[in-house]
Amino acid sequence: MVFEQNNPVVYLVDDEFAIRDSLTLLIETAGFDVQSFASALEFLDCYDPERPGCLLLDVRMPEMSGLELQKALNERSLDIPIIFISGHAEVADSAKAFRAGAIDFLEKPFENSVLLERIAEGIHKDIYARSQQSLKREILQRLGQLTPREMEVLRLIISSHSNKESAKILKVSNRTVDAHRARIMEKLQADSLAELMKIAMQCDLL
Amino acid sequence: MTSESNSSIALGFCDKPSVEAAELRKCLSIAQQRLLASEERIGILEQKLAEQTRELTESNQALRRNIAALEESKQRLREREAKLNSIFNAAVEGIITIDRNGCVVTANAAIKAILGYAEEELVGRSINMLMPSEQGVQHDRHIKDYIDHGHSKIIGSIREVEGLHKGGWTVPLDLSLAEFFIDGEIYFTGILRDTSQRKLQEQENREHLEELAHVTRLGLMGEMASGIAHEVNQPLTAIVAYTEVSLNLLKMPRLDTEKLAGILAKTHQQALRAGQIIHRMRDFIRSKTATRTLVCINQLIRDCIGLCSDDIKLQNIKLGLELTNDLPLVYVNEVQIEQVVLNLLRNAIEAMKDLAHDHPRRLAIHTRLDGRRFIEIGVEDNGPGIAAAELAKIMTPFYTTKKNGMGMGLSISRSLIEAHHGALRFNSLPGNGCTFYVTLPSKEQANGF
Repeated sequence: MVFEQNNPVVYLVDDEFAIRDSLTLLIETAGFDVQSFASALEFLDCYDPERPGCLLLDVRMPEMSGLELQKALNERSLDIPIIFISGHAEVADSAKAFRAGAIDFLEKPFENSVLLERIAEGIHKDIYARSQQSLKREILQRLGQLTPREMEVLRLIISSHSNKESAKILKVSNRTVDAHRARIMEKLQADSLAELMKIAMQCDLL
Repeated sequence: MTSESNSSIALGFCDKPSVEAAELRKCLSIAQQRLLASEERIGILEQKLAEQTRELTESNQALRRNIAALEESKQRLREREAKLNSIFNAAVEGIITIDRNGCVVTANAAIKAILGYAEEELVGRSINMLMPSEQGVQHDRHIKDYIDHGHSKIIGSIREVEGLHKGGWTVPLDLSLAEFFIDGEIYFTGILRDTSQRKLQEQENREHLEELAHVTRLGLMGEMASGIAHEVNQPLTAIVAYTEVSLNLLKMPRLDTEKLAGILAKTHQQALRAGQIIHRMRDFIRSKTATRTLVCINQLIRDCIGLCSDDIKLQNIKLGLELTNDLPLVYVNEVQIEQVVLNLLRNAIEAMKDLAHDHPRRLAIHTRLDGRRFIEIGVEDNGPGIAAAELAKIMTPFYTTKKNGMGMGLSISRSLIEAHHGALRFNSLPGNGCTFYVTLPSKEQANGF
């Protein structure tokens, strides 16, 4: 199986060979790339965060359990969507998993259709999150081009101050504020105030 | 006679020729000497006679004393015989003597109580009439072998045998044998104890132990149910996925039969695996387990580990197996021994539960043959060990240090092992783990019991 660098991939971590073997076949049949690992540590060694995908994770494993791996990923800010699979679901485990952001917690044996749906959902979520991320990165980069003075003007605009009010606060002429505003719109590639507001929201300025 | 008279005679011849006189004197002198010698001898004889008379009197007295003593010892012998006879007939044990041909010579009263025959019905007849028929034939041969070759392990030891009652039923007996000789002829005396009551008691104890073992087994299985469910769910999950893939393959326009066959073979394997776990569990919770079979102890241990594998995995326990190959089989109640091993495994696993997260956990299991043809199973953990104050108590019923324990595990285990003529013991180093040892007689050894 050839893995396209940016094709989404389903990572499967389970210490049981029969589970890895059968689920790999199943998931590949459904058209996804699969990479399987016998332990959490093995996965951490090989995981490429650049590649979109989702993680199918057994709860009970020696050395490092599924829940511990989830925690480790969270600590490294690796937000790959996780679907847990467990031989005996315990409420405490599943609650912990969901609190830490799991997509689902499936009890073995599970309906394959449900598993495949969740996988599709996870991959979709990851791809969306990645696109949001890259958009944010781009906007932040544009934001970085603003001068300190322009940033000051931007903060005043988005907190609903008119040009006149802003000029008064900054003790400059209206024309100066107009010029700043035009450059801000240009640098942030915004066509209207509404768009400017949206960008500001995405960059957590609001 | 005096020397004075001798000389007067001598004087009468003095006037005759002196030569004659001299001759006469000489003869006289000789005669006198002889006389003197005879007198001396007579004296000695008299003395001897006196001595002999005294000796005779003394030995006469001694003889009288001996006769009295003999009379007394005869009396004592009669008393002793009466005493022995009363013991012989009052004994609860049956006592029966046979000659070299196996014919009964004497039998005491207890024989009648135990086997229904009075002495007069037995004397002169073959001892075989008191044995179930198949034993009788062997018995004749045993006697002959013993007389011819002179070795037998049954003389001097106690054996469990069966006797045939006059009424036709068999009676369990303890038999001890002694031999003795009269005028060069060999005789055997057998002492028989009726063990029906004891057997009944033993049977009751066994049944009681078995029931108790069953109850604790159910408890043990309950504690392990979640782990076992997980063990079954693994192959089921694989089966569900494999079959789904197979169905998908069947829908393909071009059927890849080779791939399909491979997947179905794997499905088959997983189904068998799930079945084995269920079988093992079902066997384990069976209530009727009375029969003993020949069991390979290493396989039994592997099965037990299989039932605990989920916990071993989960607690990240490093399992060390040192199972000696080619051990003799053991003749045991498989489920009961499995229960004991499982109990020790679970105890070891639980002992390590509260160790620090990064503390390495080791569970080592060994089997070996010890010199006396006993098989030893060792289960070692590196948990906290057993506190000194608890050492004496851990085998007592209802004593437990576990939150949810019943306190029956070790006490039942010990009873079960002892019922197999084995032993259960342990070594504990506080702070440094604990090892439990089970010893069981091997098949060869067990035949001796």
